[in-house]
Parts: sequence; C-alpha cells; structure tokens
Amino acid sequence: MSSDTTHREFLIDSYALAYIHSLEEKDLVVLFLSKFVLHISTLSLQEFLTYVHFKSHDYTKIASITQLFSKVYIIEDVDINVIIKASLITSDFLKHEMSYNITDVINAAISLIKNIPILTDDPERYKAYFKYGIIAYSIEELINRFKKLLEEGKDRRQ
Amino acid sequence: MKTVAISEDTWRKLKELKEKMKASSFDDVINVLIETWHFTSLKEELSKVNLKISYYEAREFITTMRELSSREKQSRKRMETMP
Repeated sequence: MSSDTTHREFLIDSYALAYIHSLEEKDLVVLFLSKFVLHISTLSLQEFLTYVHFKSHDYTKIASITQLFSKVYIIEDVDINVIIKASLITSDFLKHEMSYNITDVINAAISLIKNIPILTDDPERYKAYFKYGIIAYSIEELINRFKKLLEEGKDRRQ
Repeated sequence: MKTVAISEDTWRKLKELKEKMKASSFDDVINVLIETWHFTSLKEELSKVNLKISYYEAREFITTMRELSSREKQSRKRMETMP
C-alpha cells in the first residue's frame, strides 16, 4: 500500500519506530513528530526497548527513552477491548492454520479500535490483516513524501 | 472566530512579526508561533536522550527476537505431543 499524507494519525510498530529514530536529519524527525499524532502499543515499545537494552546494557537509557516517548507518542495499553479484538483475530488465524505474531495481532486490534492506520517498514507484514480492515503504510514512503512536501513549501516561499 | 485580549506591547510586537513574516492574517502568525513552540520543545526533549539507532540492525534484531519466540512456542508444542 502506498503512502498517504491525508492521514494525520497513525499507530507505529517497532520497525517504524526504529526507522524514525535512525534518521540522521534530526530536524526532519522533529518536524515529522510535531506534524503527526503517533500512537505506539506497549508491546511494540517493549520490542524497541529490548533492542536498545540488548545493545547498551544500560537501564537508565531505557528509562529515559520511556520517559521521552511517553511525551512524544501516545502509548496504547493492552486493555480489555484490545484483548477481545485480538482474540477474535487470533482465533480466526488458528481456524485457517495461519501463524501469527502476538505484537502484530495487538497492533492490528488497536488500529481497528482506534480506527487509525499502521505505519511499518513493510506494509506486507500486515497483509493477512487487510481482510479485517487494517490499512498499513510504509514509514519510508511517508517520510520521503513528507520531505518532498517540505522542500516544495520551501521552494514556494523563496 | 474567538477574541483574545492582549497588551498594547504584545499587540505592537505581533504587528511587527506579522509584517516580518509577510503573513496575511494574525491567525496565521499565531499558528506559526504554536508550531514553532511545538517544534522547539520537541527538539529540546529529543536532544536530552542520546538515541543512536541503526535501523538495519534494529530490524534484524526485532525479527530474530520474534523468530526465537515463535521457535520456542513450536518446540514446546513438540514436547507436549511427545509420548
């Protein structure tokens, strides 16, 4: 699925989160984060923090990242509604003998409940969820499109 | 439309800023100020944490972590079905 800048609110997964925070152009990251409302599930956050801790072995680092992210992102808890929706999806997957990743299932459930698309590295990751109404966009494409819009705006002002 | 009360001094500064920005309305000026505040405070927050991430490394790590967790589930399933 191609990127779409008509949406202003997204649920980002751990892959998209890693992509955003790996960008060298820090001002672009700040602009991107201030223009969009980004949600992240506690499970995706756990995946990301596991990576950071595995690399740094520094508890204070993950504590400060968590504090920062709670200001920058809307952290979505796995509440009872998410659990119910996730159970329906998982049960359907099992009926069709399909394997699944629990973080993806939880993200899909939050995305459906909140009615917001998912931002990920590869939208094909959520292909099996499209039939439930999941919309997934590539973070790379969205950032590139955003960058282009900023450049066009700059050109117009000059 | 809503009205806000500001001091004479702020009004003067706002008019000067509108001229400098070549903005067509005060609504535009205030919106730019709001955006700038968000940008600056977010930049300040982000600069507090040294977050150097290699995207390819993180992607590989998360994928491997997911595979390990799924393999663990499979081996547990195999153990359960063993006589």
